[in-house]
Amino acid sequence: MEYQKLDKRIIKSWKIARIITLCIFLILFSVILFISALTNTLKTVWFIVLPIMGLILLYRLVAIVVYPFIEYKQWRYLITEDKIEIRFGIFFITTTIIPIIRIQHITINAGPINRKLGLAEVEIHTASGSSVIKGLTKEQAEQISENLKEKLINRLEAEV
Amino acid sequence: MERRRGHFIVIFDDMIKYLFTFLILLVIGLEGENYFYLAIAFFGPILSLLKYFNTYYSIKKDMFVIESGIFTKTKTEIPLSLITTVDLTQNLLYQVFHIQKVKIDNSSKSKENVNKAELTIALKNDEALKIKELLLSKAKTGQPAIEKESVKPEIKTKFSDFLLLGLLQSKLAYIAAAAPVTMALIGLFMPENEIDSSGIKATDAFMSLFQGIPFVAAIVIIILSIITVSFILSLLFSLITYYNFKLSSSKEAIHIEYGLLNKKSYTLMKSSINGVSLKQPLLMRLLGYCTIEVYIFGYGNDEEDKKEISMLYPIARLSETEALLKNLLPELKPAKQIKKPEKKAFRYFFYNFKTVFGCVLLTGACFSRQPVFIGIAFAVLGLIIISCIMQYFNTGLNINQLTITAVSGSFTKKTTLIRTKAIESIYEKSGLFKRKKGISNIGFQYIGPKMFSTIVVKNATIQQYEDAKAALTY
Repeated sequence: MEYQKLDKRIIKSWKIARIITLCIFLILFSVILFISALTNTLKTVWFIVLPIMGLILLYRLVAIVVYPFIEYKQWRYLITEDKIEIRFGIFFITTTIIPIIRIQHITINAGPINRKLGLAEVEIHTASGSSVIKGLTKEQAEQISENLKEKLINRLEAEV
Repeated sequence: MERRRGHFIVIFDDMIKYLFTFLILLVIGLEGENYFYLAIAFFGPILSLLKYFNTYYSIKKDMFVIESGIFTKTKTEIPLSLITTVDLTQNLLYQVFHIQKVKIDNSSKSKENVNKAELTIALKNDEALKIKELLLSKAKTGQPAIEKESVKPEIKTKFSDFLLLGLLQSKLAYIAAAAPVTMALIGLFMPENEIDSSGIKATDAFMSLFQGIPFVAAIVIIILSIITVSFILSLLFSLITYYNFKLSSSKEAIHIEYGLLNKKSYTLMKSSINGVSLKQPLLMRLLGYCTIEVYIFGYGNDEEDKKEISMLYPIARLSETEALLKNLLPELKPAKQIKKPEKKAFRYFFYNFKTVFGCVLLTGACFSRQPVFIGIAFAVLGLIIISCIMQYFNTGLNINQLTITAVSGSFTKKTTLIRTKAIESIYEKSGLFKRKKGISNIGFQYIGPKMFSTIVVKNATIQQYEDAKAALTY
């Protein structure tokens, strides 16, 4: 069986989410700068603070421009009769295997950005934690959820 | 069973927790005739009283029920078949009045979104034992859990075991020894004029205790005194905590009792035990001893209740551990051969945040040009390097169809045995360059107390991950 890739719109979703995070960071930075200028504080440590802020800004820009493409390329998932395999990461690749028999319940999530783009994610819960398959269309998410529930019932019946 | 209240002594148990605050407020209130402080002082005891009168327990149709709450009424029902452990505890106050605190745990504690289902009531001794037997007889297997005829002989600890436990567990010795060593280094490196300009009186007063004794001998005496005191304290603490430790087992359960001032008695259902951990702090490892703990679904070592340790045996010889586990939990056998990380994985044990921190600390200390700071930074970096090297030698993994044995840790070595059936999922994580060399971190998520639901083996081989995939129960 072949690994499945995510929907390409997830790249846009990641970019939008990270731009929002960058805007929040810039607002916070501006507020600190403004208060520091008004109260005449932190002047002695600006030579440390400014480079650190600059590095964070640069990192956030790279996360918007470069990372989504790398992340999209690495992200894949595979659902077989007995297990789910999820592979993701940018510099550190994580491969997770979940036996279907271990699934406790499945949830379908869609934040405001994903909803606008017609995307959703499937969260698979086991007794010890959860794993997420991102970047699916709504129809795909529902299909996977139903598919997993059916497989789980079949596995449980086979156990009995 | 009709609903009934627990013993009234629980009112005073609650009050003792806030005794100090109560006395302070009482004194302030009485001295200044301030009725507001008096009202606040008595608010706690009145609340404890109301809580007692509004708490009932009962057993109905295979459910254990507790009704509680003053303003918001809560009814908690636990199916008896889902109860994993029943603890009996007696502090000094309870021992005087022959009362036991009964704590009931079930597996829902390990799920993030479910409220903690840990119920506690205070009952007379005989009532507590009857409730415990009744609850455990229906727990999990439906078979009577405590059949006196089938209980295997008790394993008791001896006084020499406590002595060893106190000596080997003494963490204070490390911290206490570090202080005078640091002071000595300060004394050696600090130029004389700095001593003269500040703190000279304190130094004089301290050194007058050792008049006539050479400086080095005085430092040695101080170190030995602190170490001796810390060992004695650790020994006393071990004696008081694990006094009269007894372990016995039946077909379905393991029963453990210990304690002097705070007596504990708990029963662990064998079917709920998903793993065992053998912990060896440095001194214990050097002498071939370990502490044995168990991982039970929903019990012990929770983030919010750090006092609750699912201890199986406080101190055992490593060579006798296999026989002990074979006797109690035959499915959880320590593996004979553990696969260690390959030589090419050695440097990856240094690629972590603490090494970076150590280097940054040393760089900062060098910039400061203060010999004391440089000395401390060198010592910290030295300890970090030693811990990384020890981690390399301590790490290992063995996978078979029944058990996964994972070894990790640096100064404290931890050998974890998990039933393969209890593994919920596995993952491997590595960077691009590490992956090319066939090295990866492998994580196992399993059913256990929330805090230990994942164990990670660092810098294992990708082949071991494939073996783990093959052994996983599908």
